[in-house]
Amino acid sequence: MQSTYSGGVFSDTLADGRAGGEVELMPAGIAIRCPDGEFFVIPYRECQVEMGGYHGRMLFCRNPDRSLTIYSEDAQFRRDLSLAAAGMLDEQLAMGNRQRRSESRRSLFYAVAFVAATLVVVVAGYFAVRSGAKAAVLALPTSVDAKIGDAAMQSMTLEGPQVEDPVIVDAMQSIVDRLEPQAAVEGFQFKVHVVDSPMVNAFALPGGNIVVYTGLIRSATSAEQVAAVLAHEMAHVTLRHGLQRAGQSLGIWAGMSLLIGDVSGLMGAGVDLFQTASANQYSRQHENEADREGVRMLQAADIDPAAMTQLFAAINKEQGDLPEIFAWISTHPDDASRIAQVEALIQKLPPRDYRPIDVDWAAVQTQLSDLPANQPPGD
Amino acid sequence: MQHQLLAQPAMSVAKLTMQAGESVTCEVGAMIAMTSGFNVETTSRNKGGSGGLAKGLKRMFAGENFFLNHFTATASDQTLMIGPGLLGDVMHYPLLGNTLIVQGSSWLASAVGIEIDATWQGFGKALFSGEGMFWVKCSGSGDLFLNSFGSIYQVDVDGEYVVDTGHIVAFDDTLQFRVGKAGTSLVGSILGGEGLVCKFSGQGRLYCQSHNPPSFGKLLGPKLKAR
Repeated sequence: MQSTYSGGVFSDTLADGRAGGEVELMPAGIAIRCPDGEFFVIPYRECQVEMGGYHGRMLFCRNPDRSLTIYSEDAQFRRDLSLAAAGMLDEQLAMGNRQRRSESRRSLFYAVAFVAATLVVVVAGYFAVRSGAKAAVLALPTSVDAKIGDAAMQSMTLEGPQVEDPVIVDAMQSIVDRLEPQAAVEGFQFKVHVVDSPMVNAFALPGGNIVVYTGLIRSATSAEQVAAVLAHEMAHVTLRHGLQRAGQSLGIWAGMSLLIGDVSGLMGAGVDLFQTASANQYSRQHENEADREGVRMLQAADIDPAAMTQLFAAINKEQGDLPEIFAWISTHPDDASRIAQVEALIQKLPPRDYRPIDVDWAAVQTQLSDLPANQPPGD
Repeated sequence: MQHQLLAQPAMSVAKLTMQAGESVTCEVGAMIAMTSGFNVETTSRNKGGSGGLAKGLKRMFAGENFFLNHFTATASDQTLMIGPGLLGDVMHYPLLGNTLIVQGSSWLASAVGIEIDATWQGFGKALFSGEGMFWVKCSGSGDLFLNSFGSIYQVDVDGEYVVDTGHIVAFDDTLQFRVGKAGTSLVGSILGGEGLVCKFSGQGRLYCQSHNPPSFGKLLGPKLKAR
């Protein structure tokens, strides 16, 4: 057993009312010796024990009228006191320990509850801002789409030079012009850019800029097939998928600033996102929506929507040779089930008299074959 | 070391008179004036003792400074004037082997024999007590100088005592405190402007300050011209 424990005493007889000192467990009781020689004893049988102090680990021993209190925070003191008092104080000590444990349990509970509540608030807040930003994006005017799309169009690197040939460009624009009145949302300026590249690809930027690669036009055996692709891309624009993707890519701060009406973060994110054409992938859900809306637009414009599945089939047949250039199919995932879905959609459509598109497709193909990208390699 | 507290309570300063070889450890920036016979040493450890980087960091969390200044008199009858940053009182507390828990930033200076350490006040208290996350724990024996915002008053607690958060300067480690609501209902406590309070229990001494810096800042802040 340790002989002394550092502690202190409260007593009315002391000048200052209290003093520090060395606590001893003597046969007669708990004693304390102060540095200036004062000495106090509380007999074990009169002792009342309490826990307390700043850390809740201090043991206070009081005499019955509470005029004398001896205390120590030494952990050993608690254990030794039980032995020295021959079990006389065990009940009180156990009660103090129980009280201390229940208090520490309670504070642990509050701490855990607080951390959990904070986590819930943070996580819920995060998702609230994210979904709020998503909803807020759709409430923005279409001019925001156009601004993002135009800025991205200007700064993006395309896979080849832009084609200015009036036969090709006018053919594309006339298809778009025929589809445009059927667009679900008014106010978008659709503009087709033809890019000379063997890539079989096309994509739309927010606001109405649509890029078509000559590889895709060449793969198409009719103007209707290109119309199917353009209808699909225009559907991305009118359904504002681009802006929704930009909204989803927003960080939490830009999302919050969007919620209070600051679109600069969204614009930046959108331009960043659409600068790289290869990153231009929509979610499965957006692709399906664009397919459905594209089929609806084709039907409404009296163009046979079956052209869409024809193009899929044509591309699939060729894909064996050079799979990497068939970007339009590969960035539009799971084409087998997609073709099935589009076919099912077309089946359900009411019969209609389709009008052919007024474009000389053979002339377009002739013009295309004169472009450098379509020259045989090594020429 | 002899001390004299001047101009109490609103704009107090402590005048310490020291003999050759005597040292005092002060909060960084506490020195107002001094005679020329002092050797000043700035470290992150206690004078001639333990500590270092970790202790310095803990002190920083407690609202004190990473560094400590040690003033050692090199000649007899040197005087050093120290004072608090805010308008307030300076208190002298002779520590006699006991431990005093001091609110972060209230510690001003102490004799060499006093160990300055930071102590974690527990999670709930840290969040709601309106004080720092840590308290400064002063133990050992020697002269201890504390400062306050406003004047300091002393309460001998035996039983329970309630202090508004932000008004605590220091208390004996024989006291236990909980953070609780001022009235029986939380809404009432908040509407009454008291919000949460610190409830002390046990036996020991408690030192409170008449004002608290956050409330003062809230009153003064809006009236200041933007720079």
